[in-house]
Amino acid sequence: MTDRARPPLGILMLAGKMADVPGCMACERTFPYPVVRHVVRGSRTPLSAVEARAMLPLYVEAARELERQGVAAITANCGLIALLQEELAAAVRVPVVTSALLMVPDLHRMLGGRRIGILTFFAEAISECNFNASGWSGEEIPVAVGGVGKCESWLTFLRTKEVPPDLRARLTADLLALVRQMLAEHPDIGAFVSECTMLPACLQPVREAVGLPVYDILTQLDLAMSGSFRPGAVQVAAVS
Amino acid sequence: MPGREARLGILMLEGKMADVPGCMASEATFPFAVVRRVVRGSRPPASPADLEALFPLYRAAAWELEREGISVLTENCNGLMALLQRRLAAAVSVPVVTSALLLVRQIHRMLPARRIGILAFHPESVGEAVYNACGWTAREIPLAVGGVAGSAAWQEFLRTKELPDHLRPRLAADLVDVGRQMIEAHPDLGAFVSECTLMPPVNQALRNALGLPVFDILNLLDLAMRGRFRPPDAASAPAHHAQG
Repeated sequence: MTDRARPPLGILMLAGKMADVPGCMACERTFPYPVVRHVVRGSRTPLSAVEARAMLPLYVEAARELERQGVAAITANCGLIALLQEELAAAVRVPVVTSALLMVPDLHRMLGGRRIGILTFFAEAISECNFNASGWSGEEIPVAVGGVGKCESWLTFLRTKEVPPDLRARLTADLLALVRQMLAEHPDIGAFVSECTMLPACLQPVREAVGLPVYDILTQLDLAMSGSFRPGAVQVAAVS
Repeated sequence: MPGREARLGILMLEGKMADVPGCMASEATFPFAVVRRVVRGSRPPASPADLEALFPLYRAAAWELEREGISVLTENCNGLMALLQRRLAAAVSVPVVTSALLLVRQIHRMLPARRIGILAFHPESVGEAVYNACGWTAREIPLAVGGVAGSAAWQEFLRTKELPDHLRPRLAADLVDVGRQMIEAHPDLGAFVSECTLMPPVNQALRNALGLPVFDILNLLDLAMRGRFRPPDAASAPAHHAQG
């Protein structure tokens, strides 16, 4: 199987304009494997958990369509859909990844029990029910939650869905400042997980500056996809 | 260059290791920089007492590698090393990976209605103690366990640590057979987790033949390392050494 022939990632897209920025899911350059983007008919940006949950039947139908098309894994570009992880994943037979928070318990083990820093947009919007939707509890896993939502730069990105060069520098600086502040308050943080799907657009400089691992939805998706094809994996003569 | 400092540290068992693409001793296995360190005096543990004797050796070697600068630490010993996961990981500040079974919990969340098939060399070598060390329990995650110990080809690979061309298709066929039998016994199987570090050279054949995802320690190490550097797109992805 070559890179071209490998089954694609399926992305359930909210109707409407999404950020076409490298690192964001709408952008072609974000993924090193083929991608099928599928707009969920009848969807619109949910403003609450209740509104997200109301869209479950629409998302299930769309996920099953992607499954029929032969995708290797399914994700969604709306953060609130992560509340539906269990139900959506149970509806199909391919891996479903709606949040980078899925990896938190395993990461906690890899870190010998150390605290995990969770990077979000609006910190006050993330709580136990988000953790539970990803299969764990804040009582079991020590975390610290921080958000970029008070930064003018990130609010501009959220509103415009675009990153001109001068904004990029401010976004990166503000994200780095948040990470450093979280580390100052919690020196026992061993790694970060970005719960917000907009942050990957600016994460690499932060990884290098901080020297701790920072995971995100993209690294989580890379893992899910690698179950069907690991680039460089040795190819064996055809087996019947 | 971004990611240049990101290095995987591998603690190697003393003695001959399989220098086969897909195994940890091979330069062709990883798309990032690797530093290997042989743990002097190490041998595969067969008992809890063996493990206790190994721990200080592995911890000292881990500290050495941490001083030299690594991003993630792993080792190529046998599956029992998972029982040292917590202590070894607590001893260093980087993520530590002693087993592919550390992936099971998140794979289960991706496929909550499906069963996970664990592929080991000896099926009896995995069980609740190892699962718990990896952060989960078989009481909460539906499992099937299979092994290749009954395969003459796999016993030969284990013994010689060499993979001549004639052996490769036999290894693949026997591994696929084990996988098929597990699916026949458990039609709700949704993914495999390949726990044995000898299997990655052959796991793609399993993926291709059975159409189910197969996750092994290399997938987990790729994930762990991506916390330091994720290739932003296909053009930036480091070249792998593809083998025909």
